[in-house]
Amino acid sequence: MILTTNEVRQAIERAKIVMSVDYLADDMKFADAGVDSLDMFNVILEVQKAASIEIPDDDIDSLESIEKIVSYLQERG
Amino acid sequence: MIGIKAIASYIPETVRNNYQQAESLGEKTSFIDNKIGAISLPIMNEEEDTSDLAVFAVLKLLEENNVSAEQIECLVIVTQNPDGSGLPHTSAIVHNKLGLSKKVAAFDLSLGCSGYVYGLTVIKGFMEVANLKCGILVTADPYSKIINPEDKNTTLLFGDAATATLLDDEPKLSLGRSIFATDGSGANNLQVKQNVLHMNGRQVFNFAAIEAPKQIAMLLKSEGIESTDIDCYILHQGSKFIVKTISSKFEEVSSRFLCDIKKTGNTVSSSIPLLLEKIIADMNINTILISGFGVGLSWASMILKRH
Repeated sequence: MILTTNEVRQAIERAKIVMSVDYLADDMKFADAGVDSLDMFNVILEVQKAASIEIPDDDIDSLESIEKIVSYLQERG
Repeated sequence: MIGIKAIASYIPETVRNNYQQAESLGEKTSFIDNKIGAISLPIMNEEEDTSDLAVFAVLKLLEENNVSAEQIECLVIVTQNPDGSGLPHTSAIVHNKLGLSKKVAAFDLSLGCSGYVYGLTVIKGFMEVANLKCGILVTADPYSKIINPEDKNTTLLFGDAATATLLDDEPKLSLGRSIFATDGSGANNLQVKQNVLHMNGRQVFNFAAIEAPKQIAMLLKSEGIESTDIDCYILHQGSKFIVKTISSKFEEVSSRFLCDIKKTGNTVSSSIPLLLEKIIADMNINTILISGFGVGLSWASMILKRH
């Protein structure tokens, strides 16, 4: 299932990894915002739930920003 | 009715400094403080083995509760890192080291982080069927035997410890409703290969973050109570991060979830009884929910009530 940028932002909000998702620009790398590898587990878990898909371990490293997640989901269809 | 009378523990004095470990593995100290939660990890000495940790915990339990070795009728040890290759069973080795009577029933239970909840149920059922009055449930699973110190997925997490729980028919805590679950399809996410522990951190996290809250909610529902009716939640202390993640699913009572991992790390099946030991004397705490999850994948939750 494809998610909009807003829906991805909502998923990140639910993951509770940053004070406010508003500070994250769409193209900003999560790592640059201080999001570590364990926080990313939470982000991906919420994205998986919202998009109703399973994201393989090998794809995780490429999902480094909001816009990368959105385009990844679009490619997956 | 058989229940929990007392708990004692043994934590090795030798520790590994987790800040130093993190630095050498390229992790920040904030990662240790905020995510792992353990600043030092107890490690058993080279000349010690699993049975020694168990013996130390049992001796402390007997001493603190004025129980003599002759009174013990049953000994169950939860471990997946037994002495030698597990044959003979570690409980037999501990039986000998403690000089217990030949009348004692002793066996091991092969489970990881869900092992304490399972173990309580197994020993209670065994004692009641066999009409035994005094039993000891030991947890002793020293992961230092299987950790690769270069693997930051595991070496920053696990510490060694052992606990001993005394069960008798005049308990302080009664065992209440429980739920058990297994998903063997995830077994390879946490396994030993060629004597080294391998963990897929993301998959283990996903499993715990999804299944543990679901099981806890199911247990509360089946008991017909609300989350606010539980005075204290003791989760397996996998890491500060996983405890925080699961407790955040229960916002109204998240402050009732204990997190105390600073000087022990993840001690596998010992993490729940280590915390239970600290609160068992607190008369303000009457209802406790314990929940363990990990290797298997296996997870189990139980309600304990002050007797």
